Amino acid sequence: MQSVAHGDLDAMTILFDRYHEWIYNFFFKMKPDAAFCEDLTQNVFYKALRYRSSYSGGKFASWIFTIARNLFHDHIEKEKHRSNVPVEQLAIVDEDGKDDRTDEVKRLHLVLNKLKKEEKELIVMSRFQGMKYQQIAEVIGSNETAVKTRVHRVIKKMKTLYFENQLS
Amino acid sequence: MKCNEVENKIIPFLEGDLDTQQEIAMKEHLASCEQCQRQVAETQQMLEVFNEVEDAVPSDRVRGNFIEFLEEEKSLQRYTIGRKETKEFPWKMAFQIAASVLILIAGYAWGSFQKGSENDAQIAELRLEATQLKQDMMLAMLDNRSVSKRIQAVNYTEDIAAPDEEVLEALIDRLHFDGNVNVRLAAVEALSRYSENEKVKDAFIKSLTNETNPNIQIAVIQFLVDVQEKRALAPMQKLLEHTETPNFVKDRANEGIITLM
Repeated sequence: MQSVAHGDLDAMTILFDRYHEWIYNFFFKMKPDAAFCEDLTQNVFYKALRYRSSYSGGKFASWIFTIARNLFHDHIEKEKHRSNVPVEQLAIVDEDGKDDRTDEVKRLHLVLNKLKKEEKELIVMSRFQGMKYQQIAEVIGSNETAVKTRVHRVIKKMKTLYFENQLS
Repeated sequence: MKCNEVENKIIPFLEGDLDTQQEIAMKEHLASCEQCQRQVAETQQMLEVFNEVEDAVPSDRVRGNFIEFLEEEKSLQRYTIGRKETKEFPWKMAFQIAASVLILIAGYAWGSFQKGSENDAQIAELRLEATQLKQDMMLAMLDNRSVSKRIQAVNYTEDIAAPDEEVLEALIDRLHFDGNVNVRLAAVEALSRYSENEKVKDAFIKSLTNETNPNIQIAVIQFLVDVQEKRALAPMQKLLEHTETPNFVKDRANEGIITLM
């Protein structure tokens, strides 16, 4: 990214290839709307490219993820103003109708949707994005111990929900 | 380890985040507690489901669009760089600097011109004053009783580019009437520079008739020969006839006569 910041824009292609699916999946886990997530992913890299000079070293993944996260929250905020439907209640199942997911996976998604937005995000970052507690702390502006404690608490909550029979 | 303690350590345990001691204590407790065992198993079971979740794959549209705006950005970059090169050249500052330099030079030139003409006038004035002063001083000194002062005074006339009649007359006076040979010799030297002056020539001719000192006689003969003064022939002839004239003076006179004839 350093070379991109210094004007080598072609280096951005490498970064795009390496990270765009990762970013896309973050969006998709948070809101499984392919078109929306694709737009957002494009937007992330567009912003990274436009504001490349604001990159001040450090881990590229954290930097671009911060852009992605901010962008996501902005969009959710805007959508909230447009409709009263909370993000958590948006459809989790594939929109195209095909659902080859196992019951366990479906169940897990149901649990995820029961979580608060912040809780869900923590789980997505920690469990799906494979981010270390330290990196999450960096992105959300917290410390490692606090993040760890919170994630553990959410997993515990999820486990309880997951094994509850009345889950629907 | 108690059940409530274990409950809080299930996830670190599964993540392998416990130290050896805690892990051993945990395992010991789990071996004897079915309830906690179930908790661990359930948590693990759920966490494994995360791994089953497949990653979503964005359509090619995303990459296509990315490449598109990357190219756009690249052309924009070229444009900005191109513009920056011309735009970033600090014309305004360059002009300001150039103007400052110009003002400085103009100021210096004007100043030195002003000063120069002023100075020149002042210097000329001072020179004139100095010359006048020197001349007055010289004239006064020529009457000084001290021989060296009189010689000094005569030598001062060298600094006077165009001495006036008064100076010349004073020098001629020295040439004819100064009692000291050296003063008279100095006067000859001083007057020699005014070879075009008729008065000076007359004075030398007269001096040749009256002068008895051989040194002065030779200097005078030299001068008159140099200026090709034909009127000097008669007094030089007289010198040859004179018995008191030393032979080396006569020789010079002879040479002079030959040259002038």
